[in-house]
Amino acid sequence: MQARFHRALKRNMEWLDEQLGLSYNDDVITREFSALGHDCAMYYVDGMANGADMAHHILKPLLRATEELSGRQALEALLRRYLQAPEVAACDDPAQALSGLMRGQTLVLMDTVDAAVMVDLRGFVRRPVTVPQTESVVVGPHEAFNESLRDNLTLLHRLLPTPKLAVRMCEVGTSFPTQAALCYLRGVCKPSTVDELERRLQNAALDHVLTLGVLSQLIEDDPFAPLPQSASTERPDRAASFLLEGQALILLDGTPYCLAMPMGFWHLFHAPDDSYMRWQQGTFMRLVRMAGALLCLILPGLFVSLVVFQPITMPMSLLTNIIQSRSVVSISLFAEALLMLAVFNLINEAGTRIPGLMGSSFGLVSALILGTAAVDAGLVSPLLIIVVALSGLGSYALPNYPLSLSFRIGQLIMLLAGGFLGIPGLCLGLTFLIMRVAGMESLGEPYLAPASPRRVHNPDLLLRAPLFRQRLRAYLAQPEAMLRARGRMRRGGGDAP
Amino acid sequence: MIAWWKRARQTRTDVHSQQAAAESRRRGTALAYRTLACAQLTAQLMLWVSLYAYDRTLQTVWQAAALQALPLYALYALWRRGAPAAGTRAGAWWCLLLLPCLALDGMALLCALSAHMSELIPAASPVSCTLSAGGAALVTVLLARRNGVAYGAYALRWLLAALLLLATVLVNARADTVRLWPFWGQGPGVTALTALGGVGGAWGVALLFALPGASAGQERGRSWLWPLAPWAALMLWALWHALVWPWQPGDALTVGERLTGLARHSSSIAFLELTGVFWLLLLIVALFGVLDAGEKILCRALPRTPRPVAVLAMLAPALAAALAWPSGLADAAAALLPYRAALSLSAGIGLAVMRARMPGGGEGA
Amino acid sequence: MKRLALGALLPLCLLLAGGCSYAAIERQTFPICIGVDITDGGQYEFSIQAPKGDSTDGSTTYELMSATGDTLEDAMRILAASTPYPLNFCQVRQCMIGYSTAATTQLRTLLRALFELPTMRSSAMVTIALGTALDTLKAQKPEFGMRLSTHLDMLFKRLWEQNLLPDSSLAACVRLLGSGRRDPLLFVCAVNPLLEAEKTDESAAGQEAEAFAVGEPWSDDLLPEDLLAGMLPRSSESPVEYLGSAAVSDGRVSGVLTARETQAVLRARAQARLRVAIDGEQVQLQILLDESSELYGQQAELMAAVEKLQRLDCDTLGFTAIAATHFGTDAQFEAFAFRRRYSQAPVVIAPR
Repeated sequence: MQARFHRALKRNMEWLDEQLGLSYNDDVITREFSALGHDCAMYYVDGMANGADMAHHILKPLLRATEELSGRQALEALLRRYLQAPEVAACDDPAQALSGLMRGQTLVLMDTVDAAVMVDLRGFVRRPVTVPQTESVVVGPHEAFNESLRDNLTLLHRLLPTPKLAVRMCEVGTSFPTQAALCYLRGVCKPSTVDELERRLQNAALDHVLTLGVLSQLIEDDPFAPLPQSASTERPDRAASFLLEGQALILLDGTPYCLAMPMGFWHLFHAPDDSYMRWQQGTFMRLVRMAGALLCLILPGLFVSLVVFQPITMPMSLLTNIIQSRSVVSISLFAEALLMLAVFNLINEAGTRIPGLMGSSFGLVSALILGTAAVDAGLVSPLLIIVVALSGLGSYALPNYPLSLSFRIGQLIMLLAGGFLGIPGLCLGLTFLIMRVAGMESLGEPYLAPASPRRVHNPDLLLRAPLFRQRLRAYLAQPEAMLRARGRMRRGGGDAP
Repeated sequence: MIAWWKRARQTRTDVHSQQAAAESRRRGTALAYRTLACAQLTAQLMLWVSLYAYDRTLQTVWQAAALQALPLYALYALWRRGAPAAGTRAGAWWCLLLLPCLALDGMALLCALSAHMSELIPAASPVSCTLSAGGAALVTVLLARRNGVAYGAYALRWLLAALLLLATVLVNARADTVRLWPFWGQGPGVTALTALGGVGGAWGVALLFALPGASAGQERGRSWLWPLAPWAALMLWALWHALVWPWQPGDALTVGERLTGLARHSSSIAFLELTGVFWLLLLIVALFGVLDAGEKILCRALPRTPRPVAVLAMLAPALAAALAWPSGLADAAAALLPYRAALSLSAGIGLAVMRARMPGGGEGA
Repeated sequence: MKRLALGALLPLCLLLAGGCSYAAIERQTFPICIGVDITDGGQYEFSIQAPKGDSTDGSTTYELMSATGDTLEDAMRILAASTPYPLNFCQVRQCMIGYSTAATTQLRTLLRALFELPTMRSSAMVTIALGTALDTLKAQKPEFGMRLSTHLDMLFKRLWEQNLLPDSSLAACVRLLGSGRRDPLLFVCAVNPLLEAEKTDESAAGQEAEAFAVGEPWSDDLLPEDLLAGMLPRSSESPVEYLGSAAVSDGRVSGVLTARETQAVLRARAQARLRVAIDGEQVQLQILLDESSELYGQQAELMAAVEKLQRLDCDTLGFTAIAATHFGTDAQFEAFAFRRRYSQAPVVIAPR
């Protein structure tokens, strides 16, 4: 890699041709022309730069130039008088220029000038801002991030039009870098959080980071932990709420969602529209979600342990029904439960992967064949299908997809514990999971905080207090910015303070 | 008045600076560790009632329980005096005297847990119950990282408190105050002697100060409330035994039957099961706490000790006792366990003397 | 790597527990009623009544099995060994003991043996069968197509609400019999011979039901509550009746109370304030009634019931426990020997 650009255009072009492999790489277009009395060359990647803009903002003014300049004067003239694009910059570093070229910028070289001029006339095709695919809400905005880093940052700036919104650009990936942005609110996010995240991003030593999912595995505190230590969202409004709570965001070019850190267990239960609805409704929905989570985690194991080890807890009528339904089943209840959970997860995965056209028949197949026929064949009992279905519904109620997958893994652990050791096994398993999760950290912050250990926090954890009671930011914010509202928040009238 | 109430309901914070935030974090961690210490203390005291005291005193078991306040607060006062010295290097060596207490606690807890599990699952062999519980303890403490056991215990505190209420007051086991008479039972001497046997269970108040995370940021004003919670739980448990008389002293009951003895007289099966769950959770949390506390105390005195080795060092005696001498818990309750108080007392005296010799009396340490 | 190894230990712990072998729920027998008798030869007879599995019309039928042995434990072991499925007592609603067995055996020993059975339901009702438990269980069947467990649950609940059912759960009986401060009252059941005769198609015309020897003789002008189980003028599918109670003294059944007497005693326990006045060697039992309570107008019946209890030497109202409040230590109380004075102590019923 040469350290600097040469004054001779030919040498620069030879170097670029070698780096870009132009003898076999037809995607990079070279346009040679003369301007300001010297030979020039323009490089761009076909499809990534806007041809009309290049013609209008680069070629037209330069080809019509009549004066003859060289060296730094020519460079100054190019930057200040001739090139009409909003973003124009000189670049001395060939590696940086190459990187910019591959990202869609147009590179202009001129003989006698020992620098390249980078012109941002990117015009590649990209998916427009659409509705969220995985985080739909009933009440609230319907915009989602897309794969363009610039578009995503634009969405954030629209929601938080404040100079305190800081964006630090960086590259991740040692051999094939990808552009990333670290966003935070100055004065709200702790400087230690930002510094630590930057350090982790710099130390992520993978050759290429394709998506944020890969990056999160490189920067999270404990990769062996059962739960995710960061939250991902494709909603700009939710991302903005993370920023306002003192968390930092990471956006990656090519990934249509962002990563927020640090993150706690309770944040993963929050859905975007909890705050958009009234506090009674928001609280109710959160309780429903928590009940769903508990059902998902505990119900199959609890059912098996009660039926097998503690039939004293069951009314005789229910017990008789269970005995009758199981009298034709040839496998043990524990094996039956394991089989049903495996089938449920298979159906779930197949439903995610199946092409949309076949989706409608898929539901029919799974319901008929795997449900009704299995019962008729004496493989499973109807009651267990209900138990597994309820626990599955519980996992679907969780707003965070990685969290729901983690709960389904935990469900298997609890089923094993309950199936082998009954209620004592469930208690051992539950205590193990709670203590394991309690010991987790996200950027050094305890995972179950502010519940355990106790921290001063906003009353918006499991139950959502009325908005006018939420005077604090999350415990993750800078201490000086903890209080976000002083005095009464409802000053317009009404009884409530 | 109404306006004041409305203002008081506003969410407030005292955390306005980095220093206050750091102090808040320390206080939160200390709360968690003290809760864990209280859970361990509660388990030992309640086991003493079920396995030892009730059989000897019957209706005056609550008086023997009330007398436990004396050794509790005596040790508390002594350890509070020496607490600043506990954080020093030399103090850490004095705290090593608590390791045998923790080992004995672990034995008692694992034996009780194994017996209780065998009671709930008659088909399970005691050996498999012991090994499962011990293995789960080892894995949990090692995987829970630095503070997971304490934070997990703190997260379970209200559940344990609610289950304790369910297992006593709400179990509806036909408690009757007339069973408290004759008031002195077999005589104050027998009651006092029985109370003496429970002194060993009070040693755990030392953990409020000896655990590395527990004593940081200690509040001067209300720290005396911490031993009150286990003592209150003990009183509740003992009082309900005295009000219900769940079994007679001559009845040969297993450990599991004693732990759920109260709830067996309830008309609701749900309460019986919930009492079983209460004891499971309490014994599990206390056992995990013993291993965690032992590891922390050992590693503070001997920093080069690998964490798994420290945890195994605490677990091994408990496993050995539970496997080799599973039915010996009741005998041990009388013979070995009372001596734990002596070790705690010795360590407390050593630390108090150390503190007296520290420059400035250890103030501000 | 270490964490993976540690994580692998966890399922290993669970697999260690795989050393336990449990029977699947459909491979267990859940008795609803159990019975204990002592045969004429002095052997213990242990019986169970368990659902047999549904018949084709969806109703549940019940099977009765019994075994005898020199001790109750032997009989239980023989029965357990002879059933194809292991017995699980978690759904037992009733422990029935034959009258002669209950009158001659230390009940606490017998009931403790049942109480300590693994999985035994501690809230199962202890009932005394006026006859043998086995015969009573044979005749027992649920009404209105209900399950037997539901039938018994509903029946006991209704009788409890009417103060006709004493608290004779297994746990309560074991506890009271051990404490020595109060004697339990045990629920009574019997086979109505008229209904039994109808069931077996024997001629019942003109036959009067014979009164049970220990209870009050039946006559036409008594109200239904004055009757005892086995004497009710009724007709139904099940000839087994539950009414009245058996008094226990010194750990054995000593007599039977009618339904009205049982009701009076249970109401006194719930509504009256009971006192024991001790003046030197003199003891007086006091029952203080609220003027607004139901019992206030039934003082005569209450007095009769209490005097009957004294004759049977059964302190079910708990005067012994109340007397203990007058003493400082157990030794002083035992020296006073209240139980020996109880049956002779005068009873006073007065307004509160």
